[in-house]
Amino acid sequence: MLGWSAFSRLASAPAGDLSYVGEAGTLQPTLVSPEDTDETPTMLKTKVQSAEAILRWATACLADHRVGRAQLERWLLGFQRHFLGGEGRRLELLTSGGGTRSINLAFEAVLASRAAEPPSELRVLTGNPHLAVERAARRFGFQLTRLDVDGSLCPRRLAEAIRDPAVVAVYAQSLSYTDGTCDDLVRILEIVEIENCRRVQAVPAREAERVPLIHLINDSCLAFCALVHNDGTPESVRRGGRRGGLRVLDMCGASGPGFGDSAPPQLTPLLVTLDAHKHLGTDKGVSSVIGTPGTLERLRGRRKVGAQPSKGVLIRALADMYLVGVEGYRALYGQLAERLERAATDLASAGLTIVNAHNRPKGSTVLACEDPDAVMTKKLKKRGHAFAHLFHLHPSGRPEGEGRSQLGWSLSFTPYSLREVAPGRTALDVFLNDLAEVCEHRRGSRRPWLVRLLSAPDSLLSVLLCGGVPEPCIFTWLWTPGWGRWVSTTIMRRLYGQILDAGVIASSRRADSLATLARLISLVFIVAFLLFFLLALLLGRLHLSLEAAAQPHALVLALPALGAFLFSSSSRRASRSPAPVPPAR
Amino acid sequence: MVAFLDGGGSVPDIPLLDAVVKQLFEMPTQKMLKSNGLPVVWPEALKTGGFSLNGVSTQELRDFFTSLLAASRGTEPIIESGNKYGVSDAFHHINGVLLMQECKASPRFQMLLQADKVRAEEFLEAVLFNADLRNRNPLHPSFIDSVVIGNLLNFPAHIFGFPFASYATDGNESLSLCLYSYREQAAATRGAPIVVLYVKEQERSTAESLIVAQVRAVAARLNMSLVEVEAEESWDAHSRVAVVMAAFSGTALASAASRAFERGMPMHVHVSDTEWRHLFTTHTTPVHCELHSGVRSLTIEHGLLSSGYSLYRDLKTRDEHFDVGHQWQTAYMSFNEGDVPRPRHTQIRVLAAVQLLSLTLSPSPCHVPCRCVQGALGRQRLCSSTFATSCLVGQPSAAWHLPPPAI
Repeated sequence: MLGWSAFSRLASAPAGDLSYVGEAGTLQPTLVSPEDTDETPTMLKTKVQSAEAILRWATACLADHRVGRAQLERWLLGFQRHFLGGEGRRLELLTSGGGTRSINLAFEAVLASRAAEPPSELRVLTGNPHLAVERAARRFGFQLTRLDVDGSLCPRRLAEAIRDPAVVAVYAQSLSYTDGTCDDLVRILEIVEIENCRRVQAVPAREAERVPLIHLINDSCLAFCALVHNDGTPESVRRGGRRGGLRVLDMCGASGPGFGDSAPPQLTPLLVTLDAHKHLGTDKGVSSVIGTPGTLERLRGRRKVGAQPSKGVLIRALADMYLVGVEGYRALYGQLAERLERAATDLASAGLTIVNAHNRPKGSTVLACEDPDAVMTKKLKKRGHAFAHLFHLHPSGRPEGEGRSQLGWSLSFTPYSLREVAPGRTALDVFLNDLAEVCEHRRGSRRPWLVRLLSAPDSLLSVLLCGGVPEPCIFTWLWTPGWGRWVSTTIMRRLYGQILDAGVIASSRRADSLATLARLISLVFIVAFLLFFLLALLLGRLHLSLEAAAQPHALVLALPALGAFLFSSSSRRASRSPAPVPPAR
Repeated sequence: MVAFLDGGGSVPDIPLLDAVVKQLFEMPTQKMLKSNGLPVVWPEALKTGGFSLNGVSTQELRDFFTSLLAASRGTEPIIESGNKYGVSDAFHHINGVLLMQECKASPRFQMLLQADKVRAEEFLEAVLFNADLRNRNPLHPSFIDSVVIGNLLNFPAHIFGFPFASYATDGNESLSLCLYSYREQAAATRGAPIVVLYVKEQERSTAESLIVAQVRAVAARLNMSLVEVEAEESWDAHSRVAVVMAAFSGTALASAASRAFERGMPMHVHVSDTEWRHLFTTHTTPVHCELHSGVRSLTIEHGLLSSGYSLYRDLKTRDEHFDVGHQWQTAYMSFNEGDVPRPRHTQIRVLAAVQLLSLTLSPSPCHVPCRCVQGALGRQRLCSSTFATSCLVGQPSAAWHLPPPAI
């Protein structure tokens, strides 16, 4: 990238200093002892710091070679524990470039506990998890069993399934990406602990340490706001019931306060993931997985697949977090949660069905609504809002009732939605206003009789006839193997492929293949037509050929061909960017 | 040994019908990556140059990004799911300042001429202090990302002559993605367990040993086993081969690729950072290479480049690691092993694209003092400032010879 000669100079530097050579190329979990409870740098322990003070601290850290990964990761965890829990506990930590990579690390740690068994014989239980879990199952080869009811991991079904000796982990979420619900973490942890106790008691005491325990992986990547509001204090438990405590690291261990009536769980190994680049707002690429003793340590020395955040990245993340401060985050997310609660009330009163509303915890930043025939999505899209499409919301069948649907939209709200886009109006205000207008317009309207006659609700035909967006309908095909899955998968892949294939520098790619093909086909037609003409002339039967040319079918062939040729020529001229091709020398 | 041909290569086209099918499936989502109709100011030299040695002035660089941002303006949604968190506007300034400090404190920066330092700083400022360019998330597809990332990927692709490319946070991740693709393709026909067949060199070097250890670890993570065979050894004993591999700079590559091609087995090459560096140290003018068509994909270890890169002959192999959920209720995917690239990657991509443009777009000599280097084809002008930005913000200890990082 730097120019060939420059690159030659750069490349001549010895390569022995690469980050993946030696220990730096392997995973090295950071151990955090109970003494490290408050791992905030001394100068930042006082009240809110100015940006200048933070910058001074960060600059000093950058220059200080004694500040290494372990120190920075302890500081990171020290800050996050104000929201994540686990203060005063021994913990292990690995940072990664993103939530999916943290989840991968968690699964790798779990599988390492049963290294002697092939992954295909191990089983993970879950509810309705992030795609990362499905991806991990494909990559690492373990079995994945879904036990979800209304978007959450069903404790009853979990209690039945967990007795399988092949079960190696339970994956539960503090906040679902699709609908903003959370799993009943307290009950789930109890069930896992009971099973672990049973497994330990089933063997002689001397073998107890070797008993393969079930891990609980708690995905909190997106759940920062929910963690702020559901800290397990009596007040939050009173307010949110069992969902009032989402800080799993506080729920177990000898020093943990526990939840519910039972004693704090002692046995269950825990792994919790949290992204700093999401609601903590740091630059992209700072995620962490935190484990109880002995979990992540199994990965020590394993080769890294995927880079970890560098020293500079971690320092910038810490600087950002210290600038806002613990209380700053609480205030900000208190405001966002309050605003979203009102928004949820508005949506419900507007007649919208919020997906799995009964499973949403306080502080949920994801709002998801059912949208019959995806019409509302289309209308709001036209007003400048972008959604995540939801589909196949009710695997057991679409519920009866007005406004119920298999399709829907979802929004993961961030403090960015509270920015002012017009005097006195935030982006969220604009959205809610638009939504109200769309709902008002739709109130009382039914699917046209012709649509009812021709198609089932939420089918592609129905969506198209009603003027909805077809994407969620097409993505529904992902659930069923066959051509439908192939089509929807290919469309998804082509979207992201376009980003990668958009380069024009030093490229010989055609700008517009369809136009090229159209031109080619039309040329063939024109040549064939001319040949026919010439042949007729040569044979001295001009009058016949003229008659033939005057036949409608000949015109039908010739005119579109000529049109296509002209169109493809013009579209080629209008193609957006030059595609320079350096001459091969 | 791989033979290098003089002159810059190009990213080849694919057969017309394949391209048409590809374009047809792109049509439903094409508008997501469209500009708002305003033109992007591509310097004139782009039409004639490829990846050349000439530089670009700061003004040209600014003009390009200004026009790029203008062309994408108005396409940002009022409300969207995730993407921007907007916790504090002060983050942009703090992070920009820290990144700039990191760059300027780097011994690499100190190696630049004074005029180049000034120019490099201007380049950095143009990107690092622009909230729309720094810290982008390409998983929310946009026009800017496609322009920047697409052109960046053309650099390795044009050297090796592969039509498709992708990236990951490091070389192991790129390798892992490719091996996973081949495993998935093989699993359908050959059943598990799946083998990676590595054709050894007659005399093993330390570098090859390191690469083999790396491939073995990455393969094991995917439940694949690595089997090493001698160059002349028969492959008949191994029936569950997903992919054949050989060292890029070794003597076994050509014959292994030929054998793999004859047997209908895909061949993958993992270019180590040492080999990638060697390409530039031994060729002071642009070269490209034409690998045997049996080599279906290639990955480049991170190091000299900040990220891992992967190149593909066909879409199928790349498609296979574009994971799409089959049992989820929302559409989501990413092209590498995680959901978000490292932050510096995004800005690196912007910066690296700056480099590409710097090296490509300026028809006239830049207006800062240049130094001369003696190359194979004689004395040439080299504007050192053109490569300043990417090496400064790149993999800290990789692009230049530095002491091991403190972290």
